Parts: sequence; C-alpha cells; structure tokens
Amino acid sequence: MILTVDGLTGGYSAIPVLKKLSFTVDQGELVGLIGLNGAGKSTTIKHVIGLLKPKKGKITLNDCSLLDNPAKYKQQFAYVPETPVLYEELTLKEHLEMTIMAYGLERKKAMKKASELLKIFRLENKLDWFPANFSKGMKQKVMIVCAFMTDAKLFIIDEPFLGLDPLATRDLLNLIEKVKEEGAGVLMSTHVLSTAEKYCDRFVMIDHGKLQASGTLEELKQNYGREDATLSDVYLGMADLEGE
Amino acid sequence: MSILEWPTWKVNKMDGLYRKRQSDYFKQIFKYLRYVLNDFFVLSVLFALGGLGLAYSDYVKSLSHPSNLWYSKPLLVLIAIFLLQIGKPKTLLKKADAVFLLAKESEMGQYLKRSFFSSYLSGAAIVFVGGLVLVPFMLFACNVPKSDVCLIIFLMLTSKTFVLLAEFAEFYDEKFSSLLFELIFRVLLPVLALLLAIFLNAALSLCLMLGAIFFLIQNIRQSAHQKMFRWNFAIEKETARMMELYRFFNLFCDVPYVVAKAKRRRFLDAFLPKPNPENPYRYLYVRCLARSGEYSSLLIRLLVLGSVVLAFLDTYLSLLIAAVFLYMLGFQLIPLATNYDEIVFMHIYPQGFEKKINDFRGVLRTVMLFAAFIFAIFCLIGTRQPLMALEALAIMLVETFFVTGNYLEKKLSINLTYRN
Repeated sequence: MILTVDGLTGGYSAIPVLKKLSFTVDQGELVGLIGLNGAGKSTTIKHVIGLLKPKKGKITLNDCSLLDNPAKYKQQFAYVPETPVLYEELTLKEHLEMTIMAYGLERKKAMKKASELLKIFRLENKLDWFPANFSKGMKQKVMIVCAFMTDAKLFIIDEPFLGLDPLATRDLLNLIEKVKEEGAGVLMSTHVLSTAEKYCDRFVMIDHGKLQASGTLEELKQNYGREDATLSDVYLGMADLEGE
Repeated sequence: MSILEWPTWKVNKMDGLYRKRQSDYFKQIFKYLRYVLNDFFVLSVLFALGGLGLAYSDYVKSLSHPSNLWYSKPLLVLIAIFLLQIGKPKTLLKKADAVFLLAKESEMGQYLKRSFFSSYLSGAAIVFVGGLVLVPFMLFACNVPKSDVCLIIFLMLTSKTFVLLAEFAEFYDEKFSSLLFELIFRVLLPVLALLLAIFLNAALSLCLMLGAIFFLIQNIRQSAHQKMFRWNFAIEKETARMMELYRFFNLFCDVPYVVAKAKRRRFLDAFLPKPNPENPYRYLYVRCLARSGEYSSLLIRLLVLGSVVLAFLDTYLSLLIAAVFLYMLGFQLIPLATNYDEIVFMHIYPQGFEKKINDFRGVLRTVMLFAAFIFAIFCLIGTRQPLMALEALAIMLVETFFVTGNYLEKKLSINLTYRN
C-alpha cells in the first residue's frame, strides 16, 4: 500500500467534516475519490497533503507519517490542485526550476522529463513567459507538468477534468497510465462519474464525510444489486438510501 | 434646484447608503490602524518629522529680514499645488454597484453629494494643516503681509473645493478626464489663483475662485441631468484608491485584497541567482523583488529619495535620515516573506518553513546592506566628512542586524497568528 488512510476524523474547526474515513491506494492503481459537492473530497485531500491535521486517525505514505517525518512524507507525493496556483513573477522555466529545487530532483533528468511533458501539452516554446498570464487551460497544463516531472510515488489530482479540453484530458489520462505502469499510485477526486467509471481501477465513495462504499466497479455493482448499473446509478442510489 | 438648497438636509435612501458605507469603512480602517500604530513605524515617523521640523525651523531662523529669495514664492505655489492633489474623491463604490445600483442612477446625485462632503473634510484637513505649517515660510521667506496669510489659507481651502469638484465632475463628463482638463482645473487655475494672491491681491483672487466654483457647480448639475453616470470609471477609480490604502496597510499585516502585477524585465536575468537546491526560496524571493511592480518600485523609490535627500544634508541630521530611510526600506520589504503564503505549494514542498524564513532573511540582509552602502556614499557626498559617513554606515549595519533578526521574527509571528 502506498497510501493508507485509517479512521480519519477531522475538519476545519471543532466540528469534524470527515468521520472515521478509511481507504487505501496501492501502487499501480488509479483510485477515484467520488462524492457530491460538499461530501468532503477536498477536505480529505487537504489532510493527505498535510494542510490539515487529523483530529483522530492516521495517514501514512509508504509507512511514513506526516508527524514523524514531514520532509520525507512531502517528498513522496505530487499534487495537482483543482484551480491552477502559480507564481506571478516566475516564468514557466523558473516554475520548473522551483519544482526541481524543492523536491531535490536530479536536474538534467528532470528537465528532460519536463520538456517531453511540455511537448505533449504544446507548451515547449513558452518557457520564457509568465504562466500567470496564460489561459486557464494552459495554466492547468503547467500544474500537470510540474507534478508529473517529479518521481513521486503518489499523485494526488483534484478535479482534473473541469477546464481541460478533450485533447488535454486524453493526454492526462495517458500520463496517469504511464506512471501507474512505473509503480506509482494515483488518487483522483472527481464528480464527473462517466469518465471516472471508464478509467479508475477502484473507487472510494464518500458522502457527508463518511465512507459510503469502496471497491472496484464490479464490487460496487454487486453491493448495489444490479448488474447493468452505471457508476452514476450506484452513487445516486447510495445517496438516496442514505437520505431515507 | 438652486444652489441655495445645497446641501440638502433630508436624509434619503442613497444618502443613508453612503453614511452606512462610510461607517463600515471607518471600522475597517481602524481595524488596520491598530496594526500600524503598534509598530515601530510610528516611532520612525515621529523621528523623521522631528528631524524635518528641526531643519525647517533652522532654515526659517537663518533667513535674512527681509529675505529676497528668488525661489520662495514659486516654491510656495508648488507646495500648495501638491497639497491640493492629496485627498481624492472617496465614493466608496463597490464592483457590484454596477449591477445592483444601476436602477438608482437618478438618485446618485444624493449619494455623490454626501461623498463630496466626506471627501472634502479629509482633503481640506490636509490642506489646512499644510497651510499652517507653511505660515512661517510665507511670512519670512515669501514676505507675505500678515493680513494676507489668512486669506491665502482660505484660498487654498477653496481651491481644494474647486479641485475636488473637478474630480467629481469626471463622474458625469468624460471631458474632465482628459489630460488637458485635468491640467487646467487641477493645476493651472489653482496656480494662477495663488500667483494672483501672492503677487497682487489675495482678496480678489479669493473672489474669483469662489466665482469659478459657482460656475463649476452649475456645470456639474447640468451634466448630471443630461449625461449618464460613468459607473465603470467611478468604480475603477475607487478600487484603485482602496488598493493604495490596502497596500499601505499590507506593510503591517496581511491584507487579503492586495494582488501584484509582474513585469518581465529580461535585462535583469543575468543578475538573478541561479537555481540552488540549498536556497530554493532565495531563487523565488529575489525574482519577486526584481519583477513585481509593487516591491521593485518600492525599493527604487526609497533608494532614490533617500539618496537625494542625503546629498543635500550636511549636518548630523544625515545620520538620522539614513537610519530612518533604511528602516523604512527594510520594514516595507518584510511583507515579501509572506507574499506567496496563499500558494498551496509553499506548504507542500519538502523544504520547510524554517528554510523559507532563513532564505528570506538572507535576501533582506543583502538588500539592506546594499542600500546602507548607497546611503553611506550619499551621506559622504552631502556632508563631505568621511567620519560621518562611516558613523552612518556603522549605525545602518547595526540596524540591518536588528531588523533582519528580532524584528523580522516578531513581525512574522504576528502575521501567522493574524492569519489563523
């Protein structure tokens, strides 16, 4: 297991948003973190990346926890935020340099990887420009490049499909496939269920901060009791049941 | 409606809206003012004022009676014009008003009236205080007769009304926004009025200014009836004014609204630090300093201003000014440390918080030492005494040590708790 979330209870204030949430992400798998708006997906992610401290429960990345060894913990994951976050005063090339310095990557190798990624996303002749002035889609691509040029063991991607054109979406999914083959794990939060259904290996469904269901699509369908259900059906059914 | 019904005393909805907004505005200002007044900044301003006051008094005492300085009267006019420009219209309009208040277009007159009075109060206060400070200069350097001093101050206050009215006129009539009109109404006409008052007859000038105000008001009334209120223009102006205020407060605590605009400045690339895994944040901070519109202009402004002032001082005042300017430079750069804290990656990078602070400390120290050397050189130019320049340098070195040490720690811990 690369990522183990065990009994996570926490939130922004005294009232916990997440309640005893437990799930795992293994190497070579893409896990979809599914839930409606307000379910707790972003909160979960913020706990995993260390922006929030759990009130109860434990999070470990390759048997290393944030409290025990923050530097080692942060070294092992890469994060693609939902909204692009960029330095106003740095060029594209300098963003890459920052990533290399921050993660202690080997410069030649990382730059080579980065330029391949830039070519894929058609950004290779914009190295000297300010990403802060790019269009939203291009900014998101910069985020993806900065994350995938590292050699992280876990990639955490927050709502990637909103804002990316179909070409870029396909390119991102190809990238995810590639890092999976290299042994990394990917945790992706989304509420675009149709796409998640096609590409995710396993799903973690949360609602109101609690785990509703987890497993492969087949396992979820079995639980739901209908062979021909789509992920969307399964989810909405579960949400309705919860409400009763 | 004739001018005699102005100001109106009936409180209508738009008038009340402005009052409410003003009360919220003052609450917000006081909230930030707490941080300003708690800072060493206040002390340094007092020192600066004290030093300047001493220099001014020495200057006045040194004048011969009667003085025939060729530059005194033009200088008086220059300073007066400068005072008149401070204190812009305070409309307190918000971005959403372009949507929500559009229906109230016909009643904007009431809103703007109250806004005018409020803006005038603060602007006139500055002019009045400035005028009082100028009285010795007027009497002893410009040979203005005592009887005229009062009239001239009055003229300055009415000129302020005139200039402010011209700025309010822009909200209805684009002509007033053109460079020509701005120069005429905000500079040329007040200059003429002042020159007339100083060289010929102050009472006549005052009467003419009052007449000009009357005509301007009539013109504005007409525009307000015939033309549309320039919503986007007014909102942009107000937003810019608030931004200036927020930028000032941002020196003392985190203000969420301040957003920078960066300039590429390729020519500086050769001087910027190369990527170094030991100092990742230094790479970031120096680039921000070099390219951010806000921080780079701040640095240049203070360096130039300090150097110019020091080049003309030849007493011990030089030491004080150098120390004060260096302090102002240092403390205005401290917000750079937390400039990127909203960026999530600053909290995710494996290299932690301590590294960030240490890198920043290094950058600040380098900048301050550089400034200290520049100021010491100009101190030498001004005083022509190497010993004094060395003393100034010594003071500034100690100051740098203190600012980048304890002071920096204290300021940053305040920022952290404020954010939480």
